[in-house]
Amino acid sequence: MMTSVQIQNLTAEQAYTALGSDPGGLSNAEAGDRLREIGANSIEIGDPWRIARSLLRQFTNFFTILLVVSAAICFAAESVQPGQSMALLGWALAGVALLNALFSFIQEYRAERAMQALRKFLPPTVEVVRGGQTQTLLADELVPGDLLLLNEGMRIPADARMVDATNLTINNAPLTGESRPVILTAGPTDSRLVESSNVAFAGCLVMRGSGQGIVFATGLRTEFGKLAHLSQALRRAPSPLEQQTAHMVRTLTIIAVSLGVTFFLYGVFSGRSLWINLVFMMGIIVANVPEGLLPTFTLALAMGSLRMARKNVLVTGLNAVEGLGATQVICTDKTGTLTLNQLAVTRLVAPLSGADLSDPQAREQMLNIALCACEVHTVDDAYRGDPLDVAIAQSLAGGAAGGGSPARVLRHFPFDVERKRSAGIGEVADRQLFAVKGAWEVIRPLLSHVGEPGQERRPVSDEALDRAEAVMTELAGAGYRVVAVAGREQPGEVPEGIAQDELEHDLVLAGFLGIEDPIRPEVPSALERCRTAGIEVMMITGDHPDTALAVATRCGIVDAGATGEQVLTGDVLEQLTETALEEALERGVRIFARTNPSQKMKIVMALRNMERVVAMTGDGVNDAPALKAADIGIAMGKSGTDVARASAQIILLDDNFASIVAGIEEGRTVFQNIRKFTNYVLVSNGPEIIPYLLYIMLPVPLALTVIQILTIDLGTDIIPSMALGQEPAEPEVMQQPPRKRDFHLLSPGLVIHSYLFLGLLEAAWSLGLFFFVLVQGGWHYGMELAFDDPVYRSATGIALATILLMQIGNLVGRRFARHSGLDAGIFKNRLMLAGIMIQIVFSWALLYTKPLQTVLGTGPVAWYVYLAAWLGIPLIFGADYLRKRLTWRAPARRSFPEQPSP
Amino acid sequence: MIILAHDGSIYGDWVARYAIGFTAVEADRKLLVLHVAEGKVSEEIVESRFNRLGRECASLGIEFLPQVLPLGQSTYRSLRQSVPHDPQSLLICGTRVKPRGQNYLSGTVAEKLLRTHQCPVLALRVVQPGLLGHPHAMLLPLAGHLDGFLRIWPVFSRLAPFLQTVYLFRSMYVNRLRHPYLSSAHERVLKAIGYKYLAKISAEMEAQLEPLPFRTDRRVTISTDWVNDVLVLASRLKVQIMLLGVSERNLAHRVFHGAAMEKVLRDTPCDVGIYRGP
Repeated sequence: MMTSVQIQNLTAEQAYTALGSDPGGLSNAEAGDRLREIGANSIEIGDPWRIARSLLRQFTNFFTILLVVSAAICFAAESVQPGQSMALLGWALAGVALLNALFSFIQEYRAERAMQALRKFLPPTVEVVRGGQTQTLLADELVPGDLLLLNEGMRIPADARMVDATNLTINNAPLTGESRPVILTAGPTDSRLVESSNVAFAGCLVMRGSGQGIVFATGLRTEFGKLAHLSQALRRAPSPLEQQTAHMVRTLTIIAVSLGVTFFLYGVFSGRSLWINLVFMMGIIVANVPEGLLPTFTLALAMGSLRMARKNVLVTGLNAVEGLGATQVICTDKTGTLTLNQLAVTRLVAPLSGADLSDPQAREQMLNIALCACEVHTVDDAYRGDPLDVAIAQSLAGGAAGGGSPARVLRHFPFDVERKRSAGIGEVADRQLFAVKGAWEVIRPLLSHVGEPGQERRPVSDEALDRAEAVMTELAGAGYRVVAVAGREQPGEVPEGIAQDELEHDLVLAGFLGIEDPIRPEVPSALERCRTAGIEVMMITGDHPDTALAVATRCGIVDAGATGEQVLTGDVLEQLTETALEEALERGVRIFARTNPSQKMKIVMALRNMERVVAMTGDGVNDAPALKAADIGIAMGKSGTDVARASAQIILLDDNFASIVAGIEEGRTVFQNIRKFTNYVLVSNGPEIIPYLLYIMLPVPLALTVIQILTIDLGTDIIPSMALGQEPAEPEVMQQPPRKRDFHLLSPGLVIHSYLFLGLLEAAWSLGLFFFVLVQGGWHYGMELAFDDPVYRSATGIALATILLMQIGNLVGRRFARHSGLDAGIFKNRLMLAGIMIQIVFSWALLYTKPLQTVLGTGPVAWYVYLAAWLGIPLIFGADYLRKRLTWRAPARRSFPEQPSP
Repeated sequence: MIILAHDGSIYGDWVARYAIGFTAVEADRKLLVLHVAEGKVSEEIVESRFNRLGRECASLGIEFLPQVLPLGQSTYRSLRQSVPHDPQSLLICGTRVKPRGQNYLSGTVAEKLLRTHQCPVLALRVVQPGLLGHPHAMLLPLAGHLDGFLRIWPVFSRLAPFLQTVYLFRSMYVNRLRHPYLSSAHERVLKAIGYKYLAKISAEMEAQLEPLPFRTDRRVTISTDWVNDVLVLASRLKVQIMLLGVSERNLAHRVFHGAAMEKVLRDTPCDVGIYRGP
């Protein structure tokens, strides 16, 4: 590879030349030319048709197309032959289509909220030098080559190479997730562009100081812009439920249209009138399509989301309710999710012996040295500052030490990501100390002595350093975050403006602090539930691999005695190809240590490539793409940023891992319930279709009209379906493995059970009573009856009433796959009771009340005929219970994916 | 030899960064810079830019050959007459937005030059001048043509010395209406086809450059919108350049593919190099 030079490698003067600028800035004319060429400094994708296209897309699924075409046919039929209520039917179908499409559109439009949150990270106006003058411009007008002025408190509008920096300290948290400040300089550096200490990145905050930088990337080309681009352009893959619904709708649509068209043609060739054939085709299609099913899906998901909210799981996209239930892998952060995010200094360890310091004076001395390298403030009697610094101050104040006065910090050198350490000068008991605290590997080269408590300090040797390293490794291996502390006396005045490097000499290693972030008490049991539910859990953390492994072991993510083979560090991850990462995951890697948030995306994509359903947690701005790329993005409600929350489908109100598992249980229950009511609804399709087949093939009257079918599908079946959607979790819901991604809601088992078993039974009983009433009324085979003939009205009325009553038996049977359905809890489900009441009252009212008779074209029947319709309830319930007994007697237990539909 | 079509603007200087980098690893180390005197940029500015380029070339031991061409029938024709017929050379030009237009390639001089067969051509859209023409990570989206790697080689071989990572990418197109109903099994088949093609390209790459001076990775997606996939991947992988081929197929293909190319050029998060595809 050839040595190559980029902007961060140049001196300030070379940077000016490379970007065609100078200390006087660009001229306005030149800037205008560049603006035309490069475009505005905007992080939004310029696509004026995005919203319109998104809306249009909602009308391209099979179900919506089918409903729209059906509605059009209805309107055409109404114009050909008015007065048959076809227009009403057309409006009903169009309404359902529109509602479904609008709902999906609103879900998709949420992406806009993430952009609004991202926009807040960029300033509206900026100060630049142009033509030698300082000007205030709209941030959109910035171009590469502009000389940008940075001041304390401002957000950076574009990526800029610093050419002048005075105490310039930046918070890069939006990009790196690391909240510790970074000091920027104007000198050249050898590092990669994204790690350069002379580059100010868009979206980041100037915490202190001031400076000037030449803009070299604007808009979507900035690092922040790339993040924003991903947030806008990444399209969330269809959720498992969406895929399964799509499959179901397609199958039902193909069946409906094929049957409709086939029998339409049959009717045409058999000499029936076009109008009769049209009505007939409509009937077949309407009978086949469960119009009420998709709205009921939505209602069930909405009710599920309410139940989830009670478990601290806030759902922002309804499909995520079920999606969470389908989760196969959870990728979780450690801090705050598995742990309490309450750092505490729990061990103070001597550098060579590895012994815990027990002498209060020795403890106080070590904590005071560490405190010299801290920056904490007291607000309302509470410490504020970096969590680690606060933990040290609290430890010193909380009696962990000898009770002496704490160090007074005179000067602080903040934590530097590249240096991996912070430093400071403090005063302890009239002595002035210079102290450094940070990662062992960076402090080790600075040491001149090692100070074991109670002993003379000794000069460093390889042996002493190796022993200290062994102590550090052991501490990290026990799950502690390890901070090395070193210091020395600093005699005399320290010159103002002296660099940290100049002070870092002759340091004495004081020892190690073992910092612990306690595991949330409910996490181990939640992980155990994941294990029994067949869900894999992966931990992603910025911690040291040994610490990460220890925490993962304590939580139960990996077994006790797990080795480093299950850990992958960020450096290794960076170098792995996606295929190699997939192989590593197959081999059993479960912990990602020393990673940065941008690497989450790589992990998500690899898991998705392995066809796993992935839930990913995140809280930072730069977690947004990974949250969107995952099947289920889970943002932290307490510690999460607005961008993360807007990009996620689920927000954990308590940031607690255990809530995710509770949400998964709820999601699985919702899916089980969806299967139950899908099964329930499809049963009534049988008695709706068969009358049309008989009508076209035999010289018999039509047993059900289109309006009557819609009464079932969009009326009486809705509340019972919702009732099934309310059923509580079955006991074994978290003892089964997650279902596979290609598992179909409309499985062959469900189709056979719905159409060919219970559907046929309902059809047989309702048609039996239909023909009984007809024959009783004087009808004979081949005789034609007018639609307003009282005998026909009574016959079609009892057919409809029978279907409604038999749906009660079907409803109760659907409650459990294995139990009868009359088990405990039936009366707790008030919707179920309401559903049963509706079926009963409606079945009576449509036969015996004038208004419903008029609307539905029905008439009364003798009381014993209506009583016979009631016999349909025990008939369908008993037959189904017998099937359950026979089916479930043999195998003791079946895995979820193979579970038959009922 | 590397030939640079320079329009005299600062944008031309940014494109020139690539040309200088390429020339520095050429055997003859010759950089022919052509400028057509259209009158849009003053002679003094062009001269000062050329002087600076000349100094930079001299510092790198590159023979700098500037030529200011009189404007003939058109800029394109003037350039074409001066470009030598040499398949070993590479002509580099910039893709600039047309005045009052939204197009970056369609109808531009760069598009016309891409159609010339005098030598391989690379049209560059530079949006990150801070890279100074030295990209480290490249995205190479491939459409699955039989020509494979050979078509890209004249451009790729010049970029290879700077690269640390190359991502080979193929987007397997699926109709938008069909996409939601694609089975997992079918998806696997499509991905296997994509990966097989990329493996072939990778093998050809290794045969040409053994040992590879950079790391390679392969990505295949199943998509209804390859443009979005390319842009998302470019942002996600933080690549610094992507290379795209433009087709010389029929008009209908050009109309649809051309619109897609314009979208890439407009919304790209990184520099884009365009070469002539099959």
